[in-house]
Amino acid sequence: MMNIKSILSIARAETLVIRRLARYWLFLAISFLFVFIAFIYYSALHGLYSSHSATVGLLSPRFLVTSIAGVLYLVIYSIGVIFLAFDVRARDLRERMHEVLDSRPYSNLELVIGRFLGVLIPAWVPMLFLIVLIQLVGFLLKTSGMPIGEPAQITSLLSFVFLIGLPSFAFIISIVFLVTLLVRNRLVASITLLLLIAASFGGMYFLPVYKARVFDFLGLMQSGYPSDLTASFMPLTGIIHRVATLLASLGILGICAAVHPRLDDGSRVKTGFIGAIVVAIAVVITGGILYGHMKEMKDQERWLKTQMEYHKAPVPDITKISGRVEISPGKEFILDIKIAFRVPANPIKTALFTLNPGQRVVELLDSSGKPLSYKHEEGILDITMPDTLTQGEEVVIGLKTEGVPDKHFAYLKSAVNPLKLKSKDSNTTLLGNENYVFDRKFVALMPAVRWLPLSGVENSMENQQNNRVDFFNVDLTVGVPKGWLVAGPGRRNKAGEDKRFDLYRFAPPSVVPEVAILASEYESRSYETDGIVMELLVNKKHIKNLDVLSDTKEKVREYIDTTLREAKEAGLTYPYDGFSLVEVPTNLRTYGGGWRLDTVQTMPGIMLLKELSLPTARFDSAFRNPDKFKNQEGGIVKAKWDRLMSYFQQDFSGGNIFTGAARNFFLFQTAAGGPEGMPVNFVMDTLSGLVLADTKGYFSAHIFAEGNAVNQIIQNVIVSYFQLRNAGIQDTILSSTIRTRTSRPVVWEKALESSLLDIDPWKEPADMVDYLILKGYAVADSIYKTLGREKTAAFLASIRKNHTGGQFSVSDMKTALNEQGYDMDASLGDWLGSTGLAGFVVPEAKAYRVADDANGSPRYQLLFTVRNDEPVPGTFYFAYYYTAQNQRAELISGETIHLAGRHAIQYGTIVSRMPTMFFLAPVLSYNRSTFELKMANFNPDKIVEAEIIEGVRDIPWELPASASIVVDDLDEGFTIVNDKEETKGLRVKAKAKDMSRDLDQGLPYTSYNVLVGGLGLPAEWTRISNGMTYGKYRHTAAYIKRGEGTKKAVFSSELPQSGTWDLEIYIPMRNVFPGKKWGRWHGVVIDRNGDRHQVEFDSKTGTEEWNLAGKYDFPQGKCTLELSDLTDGDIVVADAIRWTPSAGK
Amino acid sequence: MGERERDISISIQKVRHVYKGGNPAINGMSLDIHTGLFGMLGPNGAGKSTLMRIICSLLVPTEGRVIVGGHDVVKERRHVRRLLGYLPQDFNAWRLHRVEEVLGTLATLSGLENNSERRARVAEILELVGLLDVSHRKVKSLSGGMVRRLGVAQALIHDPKILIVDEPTVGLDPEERIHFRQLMAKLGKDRIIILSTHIVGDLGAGCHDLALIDRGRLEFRGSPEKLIAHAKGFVFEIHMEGNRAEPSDQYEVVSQEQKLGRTIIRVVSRMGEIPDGAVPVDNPTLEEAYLAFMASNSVKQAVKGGEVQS
Ligand SMILES: Nc1ncnc2c1ncn2[C@@H]1O[C@H](COP(=O)(O)OP(=O)(O)O)[C@@H](O)[C@H]1O
Ligand SMILES: [Mg+2]
Repeated sequence: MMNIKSILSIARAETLVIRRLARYWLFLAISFLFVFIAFIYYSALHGLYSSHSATVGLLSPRFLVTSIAGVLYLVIYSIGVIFLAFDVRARDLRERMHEVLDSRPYSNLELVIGRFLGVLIPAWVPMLFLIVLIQLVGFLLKTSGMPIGEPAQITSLLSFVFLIGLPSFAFIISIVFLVTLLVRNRLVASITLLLLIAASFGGMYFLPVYKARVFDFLGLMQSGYPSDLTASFMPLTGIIHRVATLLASLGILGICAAVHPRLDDGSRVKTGFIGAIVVAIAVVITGGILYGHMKEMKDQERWLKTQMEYHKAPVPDITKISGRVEISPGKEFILDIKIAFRVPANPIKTALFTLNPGQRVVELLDSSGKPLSYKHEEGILDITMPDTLTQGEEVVIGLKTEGVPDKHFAYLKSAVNPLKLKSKDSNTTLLGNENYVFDRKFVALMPAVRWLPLSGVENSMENQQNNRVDFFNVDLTVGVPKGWLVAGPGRRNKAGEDKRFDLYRFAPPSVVPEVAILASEYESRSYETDGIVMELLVNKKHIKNLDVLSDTKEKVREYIDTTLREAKEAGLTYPYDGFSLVEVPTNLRTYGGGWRLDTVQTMPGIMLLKELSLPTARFDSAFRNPDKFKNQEGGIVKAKWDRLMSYFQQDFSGGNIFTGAARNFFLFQTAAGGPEGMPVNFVMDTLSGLVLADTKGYFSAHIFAEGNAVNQIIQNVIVSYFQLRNAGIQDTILSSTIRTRTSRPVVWEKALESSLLDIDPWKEPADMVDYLILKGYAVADSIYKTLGREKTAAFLASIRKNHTGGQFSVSDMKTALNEQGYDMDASLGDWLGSTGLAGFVVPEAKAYRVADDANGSPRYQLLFTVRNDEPVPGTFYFAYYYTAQNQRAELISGETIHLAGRHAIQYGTIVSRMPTMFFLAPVLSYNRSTFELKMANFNPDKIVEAEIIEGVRDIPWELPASASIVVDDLDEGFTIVNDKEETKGLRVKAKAKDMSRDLDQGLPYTSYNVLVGGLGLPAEWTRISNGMTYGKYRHTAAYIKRGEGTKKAVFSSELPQSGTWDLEIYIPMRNVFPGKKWGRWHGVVIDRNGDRHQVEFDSKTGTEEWNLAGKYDFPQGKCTLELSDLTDGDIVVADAIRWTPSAGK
Repeated sequence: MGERERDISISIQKVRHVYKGGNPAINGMSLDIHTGLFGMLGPNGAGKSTLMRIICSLLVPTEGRVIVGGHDVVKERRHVRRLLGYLPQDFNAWRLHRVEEVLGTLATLSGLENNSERRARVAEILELVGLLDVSHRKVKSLSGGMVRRLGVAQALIHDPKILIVDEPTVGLDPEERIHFRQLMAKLGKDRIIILSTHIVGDLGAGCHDLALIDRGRLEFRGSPEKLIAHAKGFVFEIHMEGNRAEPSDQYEVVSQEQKLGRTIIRVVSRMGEIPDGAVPVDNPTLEEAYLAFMASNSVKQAVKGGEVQS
């Protein structure tokens, strides 16, 4: 038997030593300091910015104890522990204490355990202090009304200390003991240990999550996301993992006792063996977790295979599902329903449904109550009907199931499987990992787990051809525990109660494509408008923001009422009798499957509200000082309302309520099927968002699976916040995010490579999503800008009216658009099936002053000629940028103009104030982005007597004839060579490889044009996009900082005939690179025979245009100019060159 | 357990110990030790410490058996360890601990589990070794002598039936030595004390039984008187003119005295022969007896070695 007194005495002695070691306090101080700094940082971020964007709220330190404190404290301290524990035997030897210790009557196991506790306690106890400190500081900050800081979520603190901290330290210390006993040399031992820790961190970082979890001895990946809504501390597998870690450390201690050099009476073999067995048990348990994950994935693969096998089978068309759902949270789930369905085109003998394999079918009856024979395997419910059913026949069957749905039966084919992500990329955790929740305190029955039968198999499993949405009516009575509230499709009607349940009935007046049910002991806020109950359901602990924002109640209602009324007037009536905004725990997966990974926060009659968004954001800190808003227009109420609006618009995590709620009005009523389904539905959904809320959103779950892309977005939010305040450019974070994401060169490459219908979306799904958004938004913009809000609404309404509950086609869409006066083919060309785009050229842009108006105010004529040199039609508008002293800068958009393929127009307009800059903004064209126009010289004092030109006028389209040969930096003849191929270190190479995705037609590119001046110049040829550089459609140039003349930009071309040729070099506007010194450039021209001619070019004095650089007699054939990075200025720019036959000598 | 009542003894039976890759440190030794202060004399490297470690169950003898208070030191270490207190030759303590903390910890580990009893005992023993004043000081601030005394204290803390002290007087000042000798004599009344030393004077009057060890072998076992008796005829006095004793390979000088311009030296003969002008002494001291014994012993060894070689 072990003697506790001895153990404790050894432990106490060890603790005494450790507490007197300077390094102990050093490590403690460092880890406390880091945790503290991290907390301040995240608290500040959250406290100050979480009310600006729901995405920022994801970084709430209140729920990030493990990720912040955990990572820092445990990582720092686990390295510290090495240097505390590696000395235990060595110190006795060094301090010549070992013999008196060894000659005392206690066993080696007692010794090892005592020592272990002696190191563990001083390592672990400070964690208790730490969390108390965190709570205390948080509490003080919060109660004293500070804008930042609040106490942390309590269960996450407890699991941090007990489930994460304790086993972590136990494990590390025992490993340190073992290694130092086996490797006596302290230096070798500590290096070995550091390597072990590094290896395990590396494993954690680079392995897929399901494997990494096994290496996660610190337990950082075990905890899931804490929540005030659910009862669970930590997922069960997490708890098992922690227990296994603790067990492993005990086993290792046994082995330590066995290999300890001290002689004792115990049998080394026996102790070692028992220790090894305990370690083996721990390994088996951890292996079990791995096995569990692998089984999950296997199951999913098998289910997916089964789904695919059935994808050609005829599908019943469900018309109505009615019946009863009983929810005993955490325990039992009973479904007792009647399914009415219509037989599809072909006669069928079997009816095929998808139903979660976790639910046992206990009864399956036909309409007369006779049992039907069926098979429920691998999530497929295959019912054999007694008679063959003929087309159009209506059948009702009764289905009763028991058992809780299997949570892995969802999103079977998904571009992102959170288990397979590398953990460095697994920010998807922020979007939730649980497919649905069936917790003691909270239930979220998400449609994707198919707890309600789905007709046929999952959509788009095999290809897009099968795209199909089955709309049906519902009449469900849901039983939830007493006192619970439930949200479902539409209004919650109390339908009595029985012994165990409160019963609520959901029977919305219109069809739904899917049903979600959420239940908990919610706090409710609701009101009714025009027969629709609008309800907000939040956790009882999260009502603070409701109080803070309570004075916007009137505004919110007014907004909702107006939106609903206007929608109704336009024929887009809200289809259901209720709408609920429902809080859900962060752990609930809120992105869907497929390659699209669309948000699933919006469902018929329901919008999910993530716990980390509105419920816990710090609106209180934003509005803690009401005086600040007194003098603002509209006062604090308007400020709050505006903040609330932008808060949801800037939700990049799928919770944009404006676009989300808008889906009810159209896509939840009818959808396009077939191969065009996805893009068409996307456009229609965008249009409903524009009509109902005048906004577009941005959501791509892919960026949560891409390293730190999310952080970048969050940073963007914050940086933009300041930029917007300062620069006065009227751009929102939302639109700049959309632009930044969709204008990435890789996205454009996709867009130019294959059409929306031809592309394989699974190849690079993340880029594909942005391609869809790029093109879909452009199409929607073109329609919406042309038709305006009312007509667009009417267009949507007419399709909805004719197709509610069914599908519509592209030609239905075209017809309905035509009715409103929009010719899709003429305006957009074949946007679905082709990659062709318009290409806009502005050969002339000028302005002159005309006679003053009647009041004597000046008037200016703006006149532009625009050519579309491509065969495909396109849409654009002009934009004018005004700056004035003491006034905010403004960017004003002009009217939308369609330009047919190979056509040209002249556009004139009269303005009373001269803009400072002029832009052409194509909706979608080869020009890619908005570009600045180069205006002809303008004299503000000279009044020109001329006819006023307003509006669009067709002019003949003609390509300018020229004998010149132009080579632009985007042309094929443009390449980069480097005479001195540098041998780069491994790291640089790896980094270069990483960046290859981010090349713009072969060159690295500058994405922040505004910052070119501020940033240093690149040491490699880099592409910049700027309207003030030369280009046919895209205006780009390559540039590099002064070098040694080894890095060259090469322009090659074919000269059609021999003779004398003028070489001209294009100098872009020098202020594209503000503050840079322009000097002499050096080049070599090489002709077909290899003869070399030096070119010296003074870029400082040349005009910002074409400049003659030399005249040469050349043979016909290939001819190249190599422009090197050698200069006496700061910069060399390779924009474009031009060869022209000499006019004469 | 009963060990306390019985008269306790240590029995060393045909013990041999060979360190890895070395000559035998103990080369066949049998010895029974009973209550009282037992002196273990021998030059450096004789094997004293090795034997003590074996008795303390810190080292497994290569051959032979050691029984301590009825328990085998290899099979019943816990019992053996309960019985003894050990002061190793090069004792030191955790530098960062306070004196009382070291004692407290070691006391608990020796079975003094009752807190108040232990505290009282720690105070008592600190008093006994004269460290009470420094009980709050950290070990790293103690002088060498204080550390030694702390070593004695830790060995005595649990009032063991057997006390094994290895060269305990190294580093003590003369006063401390006297004090230490007295303490040993007192403690030796009702327990076994094995005290190893190469300084004969340290044994003091309390020692009635001793062993002489050389090169791993027991060379002598008996009372100090017996050893002195053996030495008669090997210790001489030589009176010399001048004030310097000439070194000689015939004898070893033990002491020297100046008297009226003459030097009187006491010597121990190496070869057992009487050196020129020497007068045999009839009352050799224990130290002289030890030296005489060792001297003759080394000659014997050399002779034996010669025999083997030839
Ligand atoms: N740990 C050891 N490893 C190898 N040889 C040792 C070790 N300890 C002692 N010895 C050798 O054993 C012999 C006896 O040493 P020791 O018992 O310390 O003698 P004493 O205590 O009498 O001075 C010496 O030759 C010594 O060098
Ligand atoms: Mg010794």
